[in-house]
Amino acid sequence: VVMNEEPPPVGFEPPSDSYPGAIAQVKIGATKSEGGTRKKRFIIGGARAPPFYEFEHPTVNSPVVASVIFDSPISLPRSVRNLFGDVVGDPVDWAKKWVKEFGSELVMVNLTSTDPEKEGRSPAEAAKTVEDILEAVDVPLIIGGSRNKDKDPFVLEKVAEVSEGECCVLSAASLEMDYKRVAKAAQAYGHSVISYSDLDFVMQKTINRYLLDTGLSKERLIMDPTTAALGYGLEYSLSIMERLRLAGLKGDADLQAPIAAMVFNAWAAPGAWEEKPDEPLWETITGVTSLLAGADLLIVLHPRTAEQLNSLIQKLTSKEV
Amino acid sequence: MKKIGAFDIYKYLPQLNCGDCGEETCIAFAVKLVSREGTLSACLHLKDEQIAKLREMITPPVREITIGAGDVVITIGGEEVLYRHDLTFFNPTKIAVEIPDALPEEKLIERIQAIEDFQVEIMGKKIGLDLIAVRSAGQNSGAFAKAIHILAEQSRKPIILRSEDPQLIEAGLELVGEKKPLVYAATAENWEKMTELALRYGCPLALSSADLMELKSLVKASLRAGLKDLVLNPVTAAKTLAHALNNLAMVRKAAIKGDRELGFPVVTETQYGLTSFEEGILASVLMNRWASLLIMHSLNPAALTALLTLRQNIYTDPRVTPKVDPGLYQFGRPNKKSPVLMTTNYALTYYIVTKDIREAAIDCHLLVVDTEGLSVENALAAKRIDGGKIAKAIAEQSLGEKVEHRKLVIPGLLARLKGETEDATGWEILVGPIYSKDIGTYIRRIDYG
Repeated sequence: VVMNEEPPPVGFEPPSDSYPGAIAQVKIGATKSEGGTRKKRFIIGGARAPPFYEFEHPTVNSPVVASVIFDSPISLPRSVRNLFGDVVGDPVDWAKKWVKEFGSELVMVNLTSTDPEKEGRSPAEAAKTVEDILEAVDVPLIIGGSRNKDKDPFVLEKVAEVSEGECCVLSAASLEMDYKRVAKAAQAYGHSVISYSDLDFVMQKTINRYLLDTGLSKERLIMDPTTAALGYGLEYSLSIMERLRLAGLKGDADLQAPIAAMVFNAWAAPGAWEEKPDEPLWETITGVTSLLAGADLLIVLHPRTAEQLNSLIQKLTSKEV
Repeated sequence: MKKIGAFDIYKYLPQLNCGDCGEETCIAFAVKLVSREGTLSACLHLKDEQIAKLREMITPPVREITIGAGDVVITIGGEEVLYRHDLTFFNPTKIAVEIPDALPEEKLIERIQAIEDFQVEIMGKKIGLDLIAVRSAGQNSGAFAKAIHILAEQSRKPIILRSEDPQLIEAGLELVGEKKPLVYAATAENWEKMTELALRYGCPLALSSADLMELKSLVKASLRAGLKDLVLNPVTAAKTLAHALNNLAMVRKAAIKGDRELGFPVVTETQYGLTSFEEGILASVLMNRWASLLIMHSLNPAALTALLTLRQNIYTDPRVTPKVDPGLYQFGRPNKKSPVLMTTNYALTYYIVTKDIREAAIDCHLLVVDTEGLSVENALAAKRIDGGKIAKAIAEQSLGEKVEHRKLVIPGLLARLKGETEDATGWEILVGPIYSKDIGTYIRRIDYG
């Protein structure tokens, strides 16, 4: 075969689609000028195309990585215990360590101590913990309950009240609880709500609709369709996130909420516990997969996961395409 | 591109309903063809022009390409969708580990052996690596040929020959051309000679360019020269990761929309100079972005285990719930005094629990309750497990006759079912550990008389 010609010229048009819908933009945290006391605030969401399809639309707001802490003793893998062992059980010190030593810009505190099966602390005690954390660190807060469907609405209502004006995020409101109480508290005290479903597209749409029906504004709604761990059902999360995001972009107003991924669920996988202390691949890959499926807010347990996800987000939103 | 349906196919079938293909009717055969469960050759009554037309119709938008010969073959591509939820992905990303030809012979053999021996168990299946890539680190055709010679002696895996110098590739093909390795890679500079070599040896060829217009033009030139087995690399020459990912998305999307010149599997690779942790993360990004073939530069068991697990996740058929049969399973040599553990029938749960039971080396019975394929946590949330269901499983398996004691260990995550399960079964319910890796320690503390 003789080929003495140049490769033939061809045309190429990027296979771009445009989408009628846009994801809502949600603000997390309020600075002094906005009536809060946070040093910095974030805006998540706003997508007008699938994640990092820069050829269709530039990324509107970069996804944000948050760190997670708990307010009661919890079993942690060795790699995390090595870093936080001295502060586990003390949410104020744990938050401080995340912010001061590991540069965390956003913290999620889970008030697991309110669980009646555990310490069973009262909403007022939980609110005190939140006030202490707000005092100790100047980053925005995401506040989670104990996943007790009966008690969480009261806990979240109380913490919403004491953190009025700080533009926190309350996690979570689901169909099986008094979600109206959570939504009303968020709207009244200027916070956002994470709606939660258990890997179920229809349930996610339903709870979002119901929350919006209470009068919660679209700019105060984030959704958590459950992040399953690598090796333990991650494919379900990946596909639900992709479906939710595409539905929102195609115009389904109930699903135009930014997506939160509880990446720290990755530690449910046995493989994660067997890793080298400073190489949390299972959590990072769970985060990477969520990020590429459309997650706007990624919440992690290990500082190196945070570092790697932040670095990846920066590379993917670099303007030199 | 309009999705081809069974009725589109049916129009070109003989419509005899003869049953010779094993299906009762032609429409049933058409359904099998569309879902890629049947092959065209099963029909004995097709004319050549019908075969050509049907083959065109059922060729997936991302063509299927094989690397290797005889029974040492891997298949990549063959994909029909952008998102797995739209149908399913068909051919899991194949993973190659690279060996540089500059290694001394001893090290080379050691590394090849390590790649050959690498194996990890995922969902009850032992999984290894798919290919080995030989890279010319210098411009020395002697070293390249020698490394290929050693590889051919030490390994039976399909091969990637990696050099942009056609002379080196030719030296390699003289040695292993019959094994149909992937020639990697042709660029705008060397495409004529590379295409000629790939044609002469009947091997698949990788085309590499970060400029998609140039890449398409290379495809067109190769197709025109008569080469059909192409693999695209829009990644390696990209200046930034953002550029690479956009290229990957555009190639896949264009293919699904019907651009036949970009309808080929993509090969990607990690960067040099990364730690194995960083390399694992980058590889996971590429795997999430439709990489059909992925070349890794280092062999790190921890990173590869996580990656193969990710591959298992992404390429699981979403149309099928991964579950195992409910029932009573035995581990070790259990007798009437052995512990009884309980879990749900989600396949991943089952495989993790059974792996941990084996590692703990305990003799026990495992009662697998039907939760319609949901994991323990999800089954609880979705109310697919309760005391009644556990009682029913105990009765169905006549558990009371299999053991003398009446102690059932339930997963720690089901702690809140303890009371109702005791009421429903009359058994003593012991709340086990949340993580099955703790089963051994837990069980050894219990007195079974």
